[in-house]
Amino acid sequence: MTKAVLPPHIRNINDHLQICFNRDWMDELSSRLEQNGPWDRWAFYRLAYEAEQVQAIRNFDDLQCLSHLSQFTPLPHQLETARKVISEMRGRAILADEVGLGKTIEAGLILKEYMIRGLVRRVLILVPASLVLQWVRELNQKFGIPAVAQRKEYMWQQYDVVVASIDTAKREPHRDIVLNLDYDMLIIDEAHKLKNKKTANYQFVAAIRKKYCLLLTATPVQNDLGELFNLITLLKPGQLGGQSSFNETYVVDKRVPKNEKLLQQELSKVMIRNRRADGNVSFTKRHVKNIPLRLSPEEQELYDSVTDFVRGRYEEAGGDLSSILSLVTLQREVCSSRDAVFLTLVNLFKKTAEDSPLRPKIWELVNKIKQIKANTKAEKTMELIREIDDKVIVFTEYRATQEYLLHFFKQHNLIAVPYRGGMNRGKKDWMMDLFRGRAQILVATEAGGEGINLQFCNRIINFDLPWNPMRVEQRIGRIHRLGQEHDVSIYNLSTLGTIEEHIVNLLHEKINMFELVIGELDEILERMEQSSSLEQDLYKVMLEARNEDELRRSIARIGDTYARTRQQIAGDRQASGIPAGTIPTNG
Amino acid sequence: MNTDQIRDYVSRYLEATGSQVLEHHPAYITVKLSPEADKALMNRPYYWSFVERTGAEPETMSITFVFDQEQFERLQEQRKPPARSPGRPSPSPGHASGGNSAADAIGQQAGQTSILARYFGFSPGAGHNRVRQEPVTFGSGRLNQIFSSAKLKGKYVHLYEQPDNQSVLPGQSLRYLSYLNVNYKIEYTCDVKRDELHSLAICLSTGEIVNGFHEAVKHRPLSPKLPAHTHISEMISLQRAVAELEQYVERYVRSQEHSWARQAEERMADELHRIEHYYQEMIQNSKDDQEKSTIEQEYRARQEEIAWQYKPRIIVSATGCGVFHLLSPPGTRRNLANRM
Repeated sequence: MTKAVLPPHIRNINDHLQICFNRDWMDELSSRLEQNGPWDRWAFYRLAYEAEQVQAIRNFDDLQCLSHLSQFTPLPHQLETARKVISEMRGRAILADEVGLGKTIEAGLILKEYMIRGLVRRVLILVPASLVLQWVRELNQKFGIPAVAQRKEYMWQQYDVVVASIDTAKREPHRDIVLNLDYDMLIIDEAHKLKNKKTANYQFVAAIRKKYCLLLTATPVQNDLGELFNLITLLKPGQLGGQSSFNETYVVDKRVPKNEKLLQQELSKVMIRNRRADGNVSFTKRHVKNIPLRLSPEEQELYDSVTDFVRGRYEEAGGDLSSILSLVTLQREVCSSRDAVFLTLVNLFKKTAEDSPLRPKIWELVNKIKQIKANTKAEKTMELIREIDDKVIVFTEYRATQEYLLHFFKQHNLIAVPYRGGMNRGKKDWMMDLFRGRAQILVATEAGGEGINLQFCNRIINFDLPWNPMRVEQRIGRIHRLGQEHDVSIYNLSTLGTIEEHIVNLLHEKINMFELVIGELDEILERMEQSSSLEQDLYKVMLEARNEDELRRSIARIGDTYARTRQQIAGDRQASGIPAGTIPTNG
Repeated sequence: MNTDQIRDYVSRYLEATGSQVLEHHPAYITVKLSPEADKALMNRPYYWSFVERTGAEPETMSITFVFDQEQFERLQEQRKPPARSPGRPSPSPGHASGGNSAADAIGQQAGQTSILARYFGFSPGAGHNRVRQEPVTFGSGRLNQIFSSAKLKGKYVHLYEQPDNQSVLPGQSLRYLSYLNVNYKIEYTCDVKRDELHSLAICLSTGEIVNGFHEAVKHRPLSPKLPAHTHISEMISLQRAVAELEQYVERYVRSQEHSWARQAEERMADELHRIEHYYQEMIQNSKDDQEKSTIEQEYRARQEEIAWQYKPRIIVSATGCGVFHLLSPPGTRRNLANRM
């Protein structure tokens, strides 16, 4: 017989629809028939058929991925988002949930669903360099998606699911390889960075060939309608019309939209923004307790001497801030522990020239440290921990304080384990495990660090406070996040009559940061777009203030800026139905 | 798939590979893998190429597949031998009932042991614990791997239904009906997708087509062995048989309702219209020819992306195929009656 017997393998069902028969199997079968084998076993044939049956996708719409996930259970709003992106938005969407609602989870669900259905095989995930490993870990552990971090050139082609930083991908030789591949899905995290059409990053992303595409951002282009237009053009060019018709229809000024209702309607076709306020996620409450302390006379004397010393250096430097900034650290350290300040002083002593008049002064301070026999804060902390009688995380800024506390707790028969940034992954995990299992206290110097899961604990003691509100939020975020079942208690220790008192006052009273909802701080900071950090501002204010009163007023001013921004955001949210953070109604 | 189905499936796979089951329990199964299963599942090609090149005696791995993690952990908990300090000989009963502090110390060390085990994969002093344990749930990498392995190993068969000894008289020849079986997968694809599986077979002497072939024959005693005194008649060529089967599939597909494809077409037209609007405006406003051609190029790229994503199509492929020689037509129960 000849092949002529067979009709063409692609045939028309109707004008638009073709059926395509894949006949690779036929040649293989006939050659095996001719050679009388080799034949597969009946048992495997049956198993193969059953596997096909189990894995076949019976209908277009139902989400399949749920039955494939054994590591965790997605939240209802995450599933709803995945369903909507697939069946209504056709796999191209901006995921713009507020921080803390799980955008990564949503992206993972969508990706998993397409992979199960066999619609997606080759995937490129572009994220900031610092998040690459976190993405790889989440996709592998939570979703069983075999994602790899791009390290070598060959990996772009070798692996199906590659996570890389956009800065690497856009450079040669990678650029060429990436632009020559067809990606079934492209995912971009922190996509709001792609707001400017003229940047190399934007043009690179626009040139990638893709079928489905997800852009993730918590702050979808805040201040500029043009930027919003650019972001959507990456996804669906023309969704808001052409550039000029967009300007005509929607823009009064670049910061002021018109036809908001229509704009919102068009936006909702490409963007999903779940908000905490929607109530689809309930976070537990935060309880904050400030614990004011009075330093012992010896400690107070050290603090005063250090303050004089720092002011003296500042005046000598003729008001040159940069050379003196690090000295403020000394003041903060005194509030933490004598061990912390001792180490810094000794280092300072070593760095100072042998004939410098500073040396005796520093030595004098060191001698004052020796007078101190007890740590008021540590005593109080222990009292507090005994009272709490539950697992507690104690955060400190200083390594020396951490060592001291570990030693101190041990002396008093409290079981404590350390946690710090320098530990490798294995050791971190081990410490977590010890804390979960046997220790009552975790003494940590670092709050960042991905994937550490401390929801089993719901109490934090801030032994001292970072001056950067984001880092305070990170500390709280370790325990106050999705999955925490209990209200969270935060204890702030502050020493009266020191800089610490001002800081706690600023963070607590003015910024009200301990009672913000999860993610709110991100929004405030993003909105403020401040050029210098709060930390820097505070240093400056500290050194320049001539007396307590002036200091108090300056800090109050900083606090007011935060408070205003916060009110503004709340106001915007009420004023327009437009999702908060999307388009501000006032410039 | 529920836990029972998964356990049943995995057990049958292991049995088919000739692996040796060491322990069978509703919640888990512990098995010493056969070389075939080890090669298919353990991802160690270097080891196997070493064994093959040197002729060394292969040492296959043992593994515990856990189907019900909770129950498994409960069992482990119950089975745990009384806490015992590692690195030291087991204390005599007299010692064990010593003072409080000693008991505490032992308890603590036992705690550390389990942490060691978790981080370094072994716990000193607990030899039986060294078998690797793995959860096998639906969607897990391991189960998917087993599915893939089964699919790879079960694509092409040639089988004879074995006669019952009592039903065949000496000297009598067996008359076989031969079928070409193709398990078709029909994929309806646009920006979304669904699948259908059809197990079809065509009788190679009569040309009659059977749907649901697999279900009909899966319990029959089939073997690659050709029994003695057989009579096989095949009138129809493979080409012809395939043409008939494809026509059957095509007729079936035509009879289906294809609003999904029409809707996908509409979506595609919609998308194309949307970008047309956008790019025409840009092309009109372009400053020079170079800019214009860049924009046109981008426009074409977007059009291609849209077609790639939305164009409805139906793809038919075979997940497995084979020739079956049966003693009675599928779908009848006669063969059973014959043997009784």
